[in-house]
Amino acid sequence: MDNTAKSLENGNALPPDLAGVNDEIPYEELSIATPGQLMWWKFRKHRIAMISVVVLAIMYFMAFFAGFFTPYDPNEFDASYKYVPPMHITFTDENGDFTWRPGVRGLIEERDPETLRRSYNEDPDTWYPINFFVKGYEYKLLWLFKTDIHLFGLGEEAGEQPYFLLGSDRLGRDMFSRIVQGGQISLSIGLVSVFLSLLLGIVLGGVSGYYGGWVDNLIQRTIEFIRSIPTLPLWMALSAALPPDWPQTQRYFGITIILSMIGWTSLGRQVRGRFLALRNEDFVLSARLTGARDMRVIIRHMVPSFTSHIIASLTLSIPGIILAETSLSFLGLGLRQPVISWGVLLQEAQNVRTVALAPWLMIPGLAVVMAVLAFNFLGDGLRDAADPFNR
Amino acid sequence: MENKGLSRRSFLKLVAGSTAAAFVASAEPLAALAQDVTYNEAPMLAELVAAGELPPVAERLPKNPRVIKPYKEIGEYGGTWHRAFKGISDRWGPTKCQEEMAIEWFAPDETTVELVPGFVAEWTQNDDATEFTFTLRDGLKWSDGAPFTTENVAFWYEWNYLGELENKHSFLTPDGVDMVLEVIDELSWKVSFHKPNPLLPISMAKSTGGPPGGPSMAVPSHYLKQFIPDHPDGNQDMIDAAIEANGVQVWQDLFGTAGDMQGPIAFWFKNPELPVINAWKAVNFPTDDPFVMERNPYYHAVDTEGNQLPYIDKMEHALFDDNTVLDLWIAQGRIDMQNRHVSSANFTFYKENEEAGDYQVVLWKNAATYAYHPNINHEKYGPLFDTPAFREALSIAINREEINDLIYDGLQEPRQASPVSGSPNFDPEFETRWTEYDPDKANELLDGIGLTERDGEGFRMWNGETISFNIMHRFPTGDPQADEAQLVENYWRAIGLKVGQDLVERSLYEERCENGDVEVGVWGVDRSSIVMADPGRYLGWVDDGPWAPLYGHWGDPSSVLKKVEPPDDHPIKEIWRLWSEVQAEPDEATRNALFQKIMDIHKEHPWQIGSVGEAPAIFIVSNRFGNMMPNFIVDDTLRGQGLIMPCQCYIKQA
Amino acid sequence: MIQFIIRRTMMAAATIALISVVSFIIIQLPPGDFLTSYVATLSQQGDTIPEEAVTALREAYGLGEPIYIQYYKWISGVVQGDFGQSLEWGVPVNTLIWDRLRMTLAVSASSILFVWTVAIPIGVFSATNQYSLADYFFTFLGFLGLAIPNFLLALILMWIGFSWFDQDVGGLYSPEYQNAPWSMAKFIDLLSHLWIPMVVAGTSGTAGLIRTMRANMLDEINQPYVETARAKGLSELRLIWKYPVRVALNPFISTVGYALPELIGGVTIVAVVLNLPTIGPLLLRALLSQDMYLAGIILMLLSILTVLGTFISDILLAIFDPRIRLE
Repeated sequence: MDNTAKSLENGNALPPDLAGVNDEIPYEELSIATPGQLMWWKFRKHRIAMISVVVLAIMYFMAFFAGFFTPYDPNEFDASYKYVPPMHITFTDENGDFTWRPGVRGLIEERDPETLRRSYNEDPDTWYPINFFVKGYEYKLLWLFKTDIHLFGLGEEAGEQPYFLLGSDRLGRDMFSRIVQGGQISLSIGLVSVFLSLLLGIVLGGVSGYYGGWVDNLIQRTIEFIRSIPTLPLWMALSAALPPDWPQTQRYFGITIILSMIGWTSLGRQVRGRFLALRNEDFVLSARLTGARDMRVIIRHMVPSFTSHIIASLTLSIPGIILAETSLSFLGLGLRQPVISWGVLLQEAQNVRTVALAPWLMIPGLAVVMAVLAFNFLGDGLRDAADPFNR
Repeated sequence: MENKGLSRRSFLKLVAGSTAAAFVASAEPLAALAQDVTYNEAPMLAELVAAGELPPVAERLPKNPRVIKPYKEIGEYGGTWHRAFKGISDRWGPTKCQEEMAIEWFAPDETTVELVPGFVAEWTQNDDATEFTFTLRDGLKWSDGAPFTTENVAFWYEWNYLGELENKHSFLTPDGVDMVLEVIDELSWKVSFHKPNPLLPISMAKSTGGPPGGPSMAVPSHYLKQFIPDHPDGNQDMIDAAIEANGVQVWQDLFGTAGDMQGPIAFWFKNPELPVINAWKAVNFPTDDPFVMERNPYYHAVDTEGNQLPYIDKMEHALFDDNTVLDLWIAQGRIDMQNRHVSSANFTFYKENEEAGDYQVVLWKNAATYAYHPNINHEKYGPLFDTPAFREALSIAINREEINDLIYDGLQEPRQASPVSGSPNFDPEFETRWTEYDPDKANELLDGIGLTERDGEGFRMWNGETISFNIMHRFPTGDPQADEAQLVENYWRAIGLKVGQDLVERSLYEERCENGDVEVGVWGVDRSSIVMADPGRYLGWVDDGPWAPLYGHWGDPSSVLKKVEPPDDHPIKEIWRLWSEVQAEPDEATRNALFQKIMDIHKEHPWQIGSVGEAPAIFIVSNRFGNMMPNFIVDDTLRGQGLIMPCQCYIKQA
Repeated sequence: MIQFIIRRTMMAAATIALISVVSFIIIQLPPGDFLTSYVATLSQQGDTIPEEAVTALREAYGLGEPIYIQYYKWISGVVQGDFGQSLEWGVPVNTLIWDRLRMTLAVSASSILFVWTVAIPIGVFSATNQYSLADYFFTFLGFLGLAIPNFLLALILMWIGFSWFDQDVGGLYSPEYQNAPWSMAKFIDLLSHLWIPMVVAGTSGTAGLIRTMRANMLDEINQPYVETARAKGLSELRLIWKYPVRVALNPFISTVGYALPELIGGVTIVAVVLNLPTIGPLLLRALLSQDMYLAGIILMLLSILTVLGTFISDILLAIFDPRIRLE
């Protein structure tokens, strides 16, 4: 109230938070803009959120076309290239001449006879150019089309020589390929689980907020109850209770369901709050008066009015799920080999020999951080944008 | 093999005939004391003696103490041995540092093992091995100073063995028939069996047959009698209080659930009050951190110069949960000597921190081989797995060198599951049987038994169906054994078998083995040093190595699980027939020959398909920790690190 | 006020009762029963246990009886303080948990303190210096803390402590203080070990609370009473800390109730990596070995702890903000 009054005094009908938008967009356009336009303008201002969108798009794109982006079969062993550190790219060929093509040197393995530590030296007399759209291992693109074309690699002419962008693990498997492949599980588990949360949250939160009364009371108490149990221990206990003989795909869904069963509560709360607020709004009342059925009022009139909030909250709950999957797998209660997820990769790295001898095996952690950060910034941007008239 | 730094062929040459009565050792062959020796004691005990709180050392020791020759040099008194443990469930760690059995394994060097009397002065047996007589060291005392006499033995027989505690180990109860125990005098007793029991000494050296940690065939009755309601000296108030304090149901639980003797009153590890005869005794509870053990002032052994053992005053077991922490402790030099929980996968890490942590990595050898067990009792694939040519194909399809190199840094030995080198049953032919990597020959073998038909994906078919089975194991992601299973899966797929993996929880693994549902199970074929002491794996009686679980239940007299009788012409029946002969054969040479026949049947067409074995066991040994030896063998049968008697180890005082 | 406390007490009691049911359900969840896995574990270690003994145990725990009788047997024991026997450890659950629970509380409480001392000033600062470089920096730092998996951070900090400072890692005390009586030196030793778990468990919570605090402050800072105070010539520092901060703290306290479950969860996983003598590692081992009685009890105690924490924070809130009492 006070804000509006103050703004009016200044001869400006817009709330102060839109002042920024106001700088670029002419006043006339601003006053007739749809909520969607307003959101977009506002969101566009949030630069980190914009970057996050790009980052996430790239990550999901790579995970979706994992076969194409992985130069090597993520499960293929190579006894002669264990624990290779991330390989340098060089622009000087075997003769020492500069070239525009990126390439790598061949590796010479050395083994300390005492400690058995392997180290790799670059052989300055070799140079293998990195090729694009090369033939490699066979895979099914989009689970459908058999092909063997990969974005990059050394190609057939390099023979046995591999190119490990992010190094190799204890069995000589390509870390880059494993991280990309692992993203498929880790990134999708967030989406799937959040989708389930969304269903639960909207249905239960909606029912709660729309009807009120004892239904509301019951659902509210349930939410409070679930939220009073420490999340991670509860997740741990439930995952430990999954039948141990389930195949991995079933396990994946089991864990997804467990994560969403607990994750829906905050969403449910928000939906309820919105419903409570909207229930007495004029447009809902008029819809009711025209004789629309409850479901129609909810879906047709009420839900659209706060979709933006839901999207923002959803985005903000994905990182929690990703972290939860990682933590569970890390503790040995989540997914397991041969399934590759970031949590599984980190579980393999949770020992001192990794930290001391092969720190690059912790790079999957970086992927987790990136994804979680991006989702948080994106959600933050969406939340700000979703509420152009509020804070 | 060059990188191993030790010649594996010579690491254990067990004295054949070690089970014989020839080891009636009244005069100990190992070490002797001068006639008029004066005994010495640790400074911390000397103080107590001076203060009048402890009798002098000569009165505390038996008249004929056990004499132990230190491996390298006479040690120094004092110091604390720091090691780490995982809490109360990690009972075997502290226990194996200091077991006291009537008969013990003794390894004068890394190539020899023999049986010697432990806390008894001698034992004898009659010609047909039905009667065994034991004589206590005269003046042996419990850690509270009470004399250890045959009264303790008689009590054990009456209450633990015959009584309600049902603590009857199978080697003391052949065919389920009770042994008869007869007290001769204050120091000697005799046990008799209804049939020859020639393996009793080696069984007694492996297990106390009573509470873990010992002693054998005796308990501190002067203390424990208070906790038995029916005993004249039973104290109902104390029993009730103990039941209440320990949250158990009945008085028997104080001694252990169903005779495992690991209850809160009868197990030294859980009860600091319990009198013991071990080198050290508990000071606090294993739920404490650290769990502390302190020297037993009445310990009955001395070194060759008459210094009462142990040298080390205290032992502290620090509690840890995650192995990362133990590894960092090692690198920081906080561990003096430890093998348990030390992973050979971290070899390089330990080696590189030797200087920083002021310790050395000392290697022993495990008497085990990892093996794949195709279940010949499997409902569907049993007949296939029972075909020697099929198993041979499975075995030679495995590239053992690659497994060793890729996963174990070449630290293990590619070999068939068989007695380890140095064992009396070691046989180089058995060790290399079916181990030559030859996928072409494997394919030929499979073709040869008619598995020529292939399905759409190129996998072999049998009876019109694709051959598809799983390797079941319990190794979590990141474990070397899990990686190994992955490799083996690939090898077997390469010869046209549709093989998958089944990673299951340990309890489920056991359950499926017991039910005979497992297709191929993975487990280490351990206890392969003195195989005769515990040949269960080669008899098919150990469920976690499920090569014939249902037959095994039929053959094992103590099994109550689902069983199937093998056909009369099945070699496993011959194996069991030979084993029952071995058990009752008093003549040493005949017995060994009979046992070798069992091994030969296995060698003919191994059921347990070994990959790599004789893995190095890593001991972290502080540079201040003296008299610790390299190259010995780690086996449950030989009691792990107990083989070199930690009471003769010492901490170098600065 | 009294009415409010009574109502909240009853709600807390009902929640705790419900928690006991859920814990019991979780104990029952794994297929088969825990005795089977117990026997399997024993036989692996070379110990055997006769069939009759298994039957006896089965009866003692009421296995095979209807589920509500099993629950009754269990809960009546629990109410009397008999938490049953841990099968894996072979000792009463009671002897295992109390010390660890105390440590859990200590670590959680110090983490909360850490979170508060970090989040409140930063939140206030970010609000008063909205969109400044420092605001962005702190926001980013907070998000980073939220994004790094706790266990990874713990592992890295432990490694740094080990390789750079040669610090004793794992546990809460150096060996020499492990069994020593309390003293100033021991306390300092404890602090030197506590900082890693404190920071790690705190990082994820800090980000959220900074955001909340910042938002609450922004709400208040534009209120007319602030303008009035400013017009009256109050120094900016006093002005901020005396009024808006205090008002902004009210909703903040209520979020603490919800932060608690997360925090205790965070401490759980950190403790596993750092080898802290808290309840977390015990819970993990109980779950991995399917020692479900122990696991169920731990879960229940942790939940009760949380409920009590929330309860206290509600009462505090009601004291600070009378409006709540009427809600």
